[in-house]
Amino acid sequence: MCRLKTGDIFMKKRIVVTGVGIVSPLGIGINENWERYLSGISGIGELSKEGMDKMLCAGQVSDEELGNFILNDKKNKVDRFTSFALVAAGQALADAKVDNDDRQKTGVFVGSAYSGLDIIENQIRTLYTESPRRVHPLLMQKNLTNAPSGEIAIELDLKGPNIGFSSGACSSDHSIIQAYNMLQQNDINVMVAGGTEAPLLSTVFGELSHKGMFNGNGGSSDPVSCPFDVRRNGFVLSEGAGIIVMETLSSAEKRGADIYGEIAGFGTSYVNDVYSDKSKRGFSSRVLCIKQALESASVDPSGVDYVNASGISGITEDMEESQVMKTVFGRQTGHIPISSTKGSMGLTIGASGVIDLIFSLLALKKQILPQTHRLEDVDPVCNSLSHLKEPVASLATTILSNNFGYAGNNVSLVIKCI
Amino acid sequence: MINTIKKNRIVVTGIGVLTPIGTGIDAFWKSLVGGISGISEITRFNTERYPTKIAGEIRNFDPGKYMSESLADSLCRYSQMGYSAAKMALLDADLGYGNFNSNKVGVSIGIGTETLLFYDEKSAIENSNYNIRTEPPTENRGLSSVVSDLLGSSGPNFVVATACSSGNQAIGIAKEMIKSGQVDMVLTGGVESPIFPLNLAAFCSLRVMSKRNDEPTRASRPFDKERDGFVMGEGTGMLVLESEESAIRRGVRIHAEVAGYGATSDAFHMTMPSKDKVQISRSMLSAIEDADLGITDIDYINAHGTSTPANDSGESRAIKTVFGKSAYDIPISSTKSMTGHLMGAAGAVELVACVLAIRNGRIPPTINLENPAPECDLDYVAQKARDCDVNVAMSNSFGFGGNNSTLVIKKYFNS
Repeated sequence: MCRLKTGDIFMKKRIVVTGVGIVSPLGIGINENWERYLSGISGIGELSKEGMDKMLCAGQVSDEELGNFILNDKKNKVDRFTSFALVAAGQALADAKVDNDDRQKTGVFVGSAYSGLDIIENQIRTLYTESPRRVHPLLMQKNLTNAPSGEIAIELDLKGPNIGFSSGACSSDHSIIQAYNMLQQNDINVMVAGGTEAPLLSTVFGELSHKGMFNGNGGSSDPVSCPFDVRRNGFVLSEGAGIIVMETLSSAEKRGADIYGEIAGFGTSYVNDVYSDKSKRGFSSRVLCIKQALESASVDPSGVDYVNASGISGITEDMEESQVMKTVFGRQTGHIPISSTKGSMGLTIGASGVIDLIFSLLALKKQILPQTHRLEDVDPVCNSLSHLKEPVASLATTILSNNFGYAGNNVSLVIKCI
Repeated sequence: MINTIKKNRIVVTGIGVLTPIGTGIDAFWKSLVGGISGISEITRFNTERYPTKIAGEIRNFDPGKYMSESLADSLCRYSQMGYSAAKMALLDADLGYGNFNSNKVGVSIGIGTETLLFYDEKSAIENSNYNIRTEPPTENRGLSSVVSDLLGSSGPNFVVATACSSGNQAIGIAKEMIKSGQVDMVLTGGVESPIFPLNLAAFCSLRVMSKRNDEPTRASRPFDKERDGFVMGEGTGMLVLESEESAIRRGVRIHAEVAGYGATSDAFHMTMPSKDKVQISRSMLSAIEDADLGITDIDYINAHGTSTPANDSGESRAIKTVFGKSAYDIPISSTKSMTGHLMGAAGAVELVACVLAIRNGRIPPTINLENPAPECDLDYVAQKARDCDVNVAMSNSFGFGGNNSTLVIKKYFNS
């Protein structure tokens, strides 16, 4: 093989997705999620937990269902966010049917914003009510942000690069982008990438409500997560994980793998000082993020067939995203179908980007565009787009998936049919 | 159409360090070659009920020197330290706020236990179990975002978490980002401020720490027969990495070239290293290959060398597997003998040590190495620094979760 010298120009490899796995409030598994979603089932319900003073709404993964996919022994040795990731990764790899020979050169990048906060809180109590000597030896390996990637590698015997990423609500997106770079430039065959989050803890609810950003009013008859609807009132916190198997197109073709779609391009941006200046710079930074994604995928705005929106059900966030769309797509905006999964799914923070990406990949494969759950009365300020209130059949070949984090990070991904 | 990538060299143009043995390049280097230990008794909380009572504390760190009081009050200690080192690195790289194409600048920072340490600090202060600060931090914000605010950068920013190799991996990922053309420049490195009650208890419960409480400066003794575990330290190393093209365009001084990165996973156990060391060897080999170099090109190895019985013998064995007979001719040292194990910052601070070894033609020693353990029979530059031309250095880091990571760094010559 001839080596490249500095200044040499070389062709990018094409990177495709050949396996997906989801653990979400809607269920475990791709078909379960897709069918329940399209039939209009919501994953959001009432959450009651010890130590919480009031009933809240949240998207919870069913413990009973989770128990069917992971042995109790294993479940006790890992924190909740890792158990989600293990189940999703097992499904994604089985779906991709990767050979054992490939596993030496398979890496794992998994993102999470809060990592193992459950065990941390629990052991802080032990430390202060008992003694330092009672702190559990599994605390370290359970809490680490790289616990999911490490445990996945052990369980599935994957010996390539292994990293946990954290970047708030864009944690899974950045894992996927860095996995893309890894496949581009290194002697790595396959990357297992995605994100996982188990944030339904009083600490997290406390911190978020302090920032006034999320809606948890349980017991009320208001729809709690309804992106782009006039009644929206902040996002609903959820838990879950999404994992995808990525490889080069040539590797997928060589082994005759089923391909969901190609990751054709991405854009990223960050809004500086987001808490002090939310207005204008957030807007331009998100426009830039999408433009960058389209340019890197060599897609003209008119070539986008469907937008999987960030649409977190935030009052300003959804309005701003709509205006961003208008700026990027101009006159065509009203013709481009758009929907957000958050109405049914809530916001899974570090897993939200990859879960949306998986829904977008399924839309390509199944030729159906998913609706926005609970969207009845479109807010006039969000009216620039062609909102999907019901699923529609579509031969979409190019999809834009946005993930605009409330803490300032933004990622847009472009996927295409092969 | 963007369907091509231009091959680029990646260089270091800025450095900032805070360590138990010195703040800033000059002070840090003076202690490193002087063989100074930064380990002492833990003074910031009561360690009576802990089997380990020593660590590498930074005693004179004043966040107010680097940031506004309100920002300092909102941040936890590792964020304060990381922010300060980032500021030093920007100054060193001659970069002001936003005087670059801000969307082409990223931030990749390694932290081992980001979430744990934030809540550990908060609860320690709330329980009056921490005496160097009275009010808990208020903002649990990602340090990569806080540092992006400092730079005025709007490119991708994230924390790389691979436990004790986080700093090394964060720099490797930064290099990959520039190489791919995603960005032109990355503020990267690692930081950890691990000396808090819960974190210390967690590592004590794993029985991996030294209990040589009566002789703190002799406790971290990598490769020595009497080593009994690692000693934790706090610190940070931040670097500005950029494409050679960007550095030349800006006319900035170049410290060294980041030439190679290799990473593997044991896929064996979350906290125990694998017996066979195959993946550690693969990590080193792939970094050397990534740098387009051969094993004979490596002039110095900055070892992971934690001072735990398992690591030091295993790492020595892996070095022999990679280098064969010539393993005995390569100077190797573990600067953890002086700084202690800086956890998520270790890889970054140790890469800085490699840069300085290249620039100064001098190799920092492994102090406290009095009687090498039988299976540790390589040249560990025991006790005293050594003059030696270093063109290429290699730095290893391994972390919980079974991950291994290696960087290769080269003296910079004009293309």
